[in-house]
Amino acid sequence: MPGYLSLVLHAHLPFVRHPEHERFLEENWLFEATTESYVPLLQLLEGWQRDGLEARLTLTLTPTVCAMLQDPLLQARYRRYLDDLMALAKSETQRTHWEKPFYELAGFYFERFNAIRGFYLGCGGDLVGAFRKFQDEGRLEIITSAATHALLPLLAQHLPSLRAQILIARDYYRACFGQDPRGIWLPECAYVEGVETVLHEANLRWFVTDTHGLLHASPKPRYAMFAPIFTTNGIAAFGRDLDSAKQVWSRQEGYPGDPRYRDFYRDIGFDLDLDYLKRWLPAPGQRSFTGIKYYRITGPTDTKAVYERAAAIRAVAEHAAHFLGARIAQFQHLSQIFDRPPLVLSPYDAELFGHWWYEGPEFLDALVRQACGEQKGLSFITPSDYLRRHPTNQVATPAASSWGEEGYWRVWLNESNQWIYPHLRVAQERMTELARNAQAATPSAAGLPERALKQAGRELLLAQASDWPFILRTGTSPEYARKRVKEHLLRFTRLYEMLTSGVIDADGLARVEASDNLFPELEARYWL
Amino acid sequence: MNEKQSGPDETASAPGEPAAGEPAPPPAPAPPSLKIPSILLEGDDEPGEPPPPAPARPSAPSAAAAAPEPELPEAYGTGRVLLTARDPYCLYAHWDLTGEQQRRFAGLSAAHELSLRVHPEAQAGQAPAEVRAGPNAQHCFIQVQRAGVAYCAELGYYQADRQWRVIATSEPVRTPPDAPARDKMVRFATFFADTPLPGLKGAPTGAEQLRAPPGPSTPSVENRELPAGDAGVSSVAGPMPEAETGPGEPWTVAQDNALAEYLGPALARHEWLGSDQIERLLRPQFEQGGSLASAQFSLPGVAVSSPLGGEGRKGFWLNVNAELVIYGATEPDAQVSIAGRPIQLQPDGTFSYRLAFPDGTYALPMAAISVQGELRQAELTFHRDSKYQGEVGAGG
Repeated sequence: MPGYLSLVLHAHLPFVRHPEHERFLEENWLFEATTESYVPLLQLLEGWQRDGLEARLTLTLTPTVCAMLQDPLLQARYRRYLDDLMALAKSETQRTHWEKPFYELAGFYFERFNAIRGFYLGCGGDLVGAFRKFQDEGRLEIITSAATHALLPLLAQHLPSLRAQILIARDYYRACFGQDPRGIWLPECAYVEGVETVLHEANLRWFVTDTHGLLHASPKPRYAMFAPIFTTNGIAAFGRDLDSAKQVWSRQEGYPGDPRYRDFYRDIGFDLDLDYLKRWLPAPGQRSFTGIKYYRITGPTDTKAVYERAAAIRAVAEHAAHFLGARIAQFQHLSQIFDRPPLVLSPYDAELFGHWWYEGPEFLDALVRQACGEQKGLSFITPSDYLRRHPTNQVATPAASSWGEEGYWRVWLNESNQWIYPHLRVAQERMTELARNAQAATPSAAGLPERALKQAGRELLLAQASDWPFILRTGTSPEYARKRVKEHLLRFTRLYEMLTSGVIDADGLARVEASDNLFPELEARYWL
Repeated sequence: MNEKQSGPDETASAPGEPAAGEPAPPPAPAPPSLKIPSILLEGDDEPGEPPPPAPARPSAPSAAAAAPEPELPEAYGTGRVLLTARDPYCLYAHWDLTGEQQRRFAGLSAAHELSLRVHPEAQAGQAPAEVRAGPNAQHCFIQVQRAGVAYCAELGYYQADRQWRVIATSEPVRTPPDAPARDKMVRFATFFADTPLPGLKGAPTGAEQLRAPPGPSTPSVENRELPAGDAGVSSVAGPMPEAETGPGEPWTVAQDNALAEYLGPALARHEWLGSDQIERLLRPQFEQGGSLASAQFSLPGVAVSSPLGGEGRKGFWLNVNAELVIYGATEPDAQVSIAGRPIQLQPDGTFSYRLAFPDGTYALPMAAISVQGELRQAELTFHRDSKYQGEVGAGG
């Protein structure tokens, strides 16, 4: 009995857009992910299509990622970023003239950036459209996520907020992809009972939980995480497979830690003379990653060896073969137990492939090509396809869970970030109050009040993003996260005061609209 | 296991006496909400305004630097308790009282402090666990004993006569389960993927196929046969998995045991594998340090901090390296090459060429050709011979 493998990649970044500054360091999050993960993924899809490989892949493009990828300002800045990157790589080919291994790597990077740039310009900077094309051609299933990646269980006590996060995401997906999404990535795989009510309203048919979301479901699922369950209202919950997760994620076993792979941290942005680098850095005077890295992981040593691309590619082939073999063994074992083909669902952050694990895209490519080249009874499938083929599934309620540390909400609710939630609670209730006031207004609110109401919704959504408490917890750039939460909450409050007082500062409103410009068609009635 | 094995109390605090349940006077209304300084809405420069000169941006936008940073209110004074289950054994409670409200209630308390009582919702009459709130505290995390249980919290205080007065009561919240369910009832349903779900526009009447099994020992499976080769499933290797083909064999205890054995490691899981763990995944090399020189971050969703920070280094260290900068000037319209590579001249005819300079002897030929074809050449020779004492690394 063969089995199904469902690869689900989750592409997400918080909405970071600062037109008020010519250069803004955190905007590089998008540019780095685009260069190292999003475009390489599109290039993979293109290659599979060209070579006639049948590999169905599932990809979350969160609403904030779509909004940023489609934003003209950020598109222009990304082109500038690519130009800078290529200039730096070219300079490196000169600087490393007497160091052949580095010289060859500098040339490799230059060619790679050039290809990325060519792809990006070739699709007119419209990466959302490029992904959409692959979905329209049946090679990719794109799913949505909560509008600003809010951790839904922490909103569950305010149903209108759940509705707004999900229904606005659905609406925006329609605008981006010309159809309804079928699946949704619950941010951080965080589920709590009740979410499915809103998913039902949005006609979303499936979501993913972490392993214990299914293992601890009630009643106990017969097939564990190797088949989805239906919630009582018919939404399918798929559970993450643990073995395939560990092979990629695990600190002990994970492929990305192989000594032959490129070292993430040894970047010339930190290695080289700052005076030399400064003209290419997003915030001159402040070191940051450039994407040009010359060393491999090497091992537990301070002395890092030079990255050898050919050796890394050989490692990719070995790891892809190992991963494939492990899935086949898994299917064979489970087939002896099951009365249906087992499903292994393997979700990963899309940015892991390329950005963090530089050879990740090559791993995916090797995996697909090896699977297609062998007759071992493995089928790539998307969750929607699975449900078409297997519409009968066990009914159970998933357990509250997430894929974060310790499996619940600890990452997003602790001493470093708990202060956010009382403010959110008040803002959420005020947003519902505003939506009710607008509904009751005669004639209905239009013009400035309507704009202010929509902007209040945007500010609230942005304040709800799970990224800010996450960053506060990890301490990576906590001041920025704190500032963002405060800014959005204070802007929301100001808009609330404008709307309740009836005195709207048109100029102030226009400025905020120009800055936080996502979801142009936002529907405030979802907060009712 | 749904219960912890240790700890007699739900919290670290001693349990209080049974609640009298008498409500305290309602919180006095909070002052009007804070006015937000207009600077907040004006923090962004006018669109189209000339950009500030580069370097543009430290982490904090400069527009906010000129004025005191506005703050969120310390409280809104709603007098409510927000209770959230953070994990199977931890609750988060927040009470929204202004400083004035806190002081007023504390003044009514015999102990001059507020307390939080926590109890399972279904055991409201039993002795609750109790947490003493500090004089200015507005939140606490509470350890509880039972997963998968609904809890409530009461904020209140004791009067001089030891009567418990309630200021506010939270909504009940349920802690997540932390073990497989005991309920093994199996029932199946059929929901066709391309048919709207029941209750949605366009859904056929009776579309839901949910039905209960005859009994736990004889689970019922409803299967719908699909056309072979149903759209959307791709087979890349070997035969396609077959579509559902009618009721399966009854699920046996042996099957259940075999799956449980296979799942053993997953059921006793100790490793968490999410995007917040990437740093841990990559940390082995991170901890060994590089020649990185400042705090840093990268994409959120992962925890990357301070690659050079103190934790990455053990003891004193030194990295050193060398580069050469070749510079000069000629006629602005001349063509200059160094080591055979053309060099871009500045508008004034100056040029600069930077090279990594490892140990060794190197000759560097250069040439300049004027627009008239006149040639000038130079060959520079360099020698580097480094000697180190102690452990010294290369900086790039």
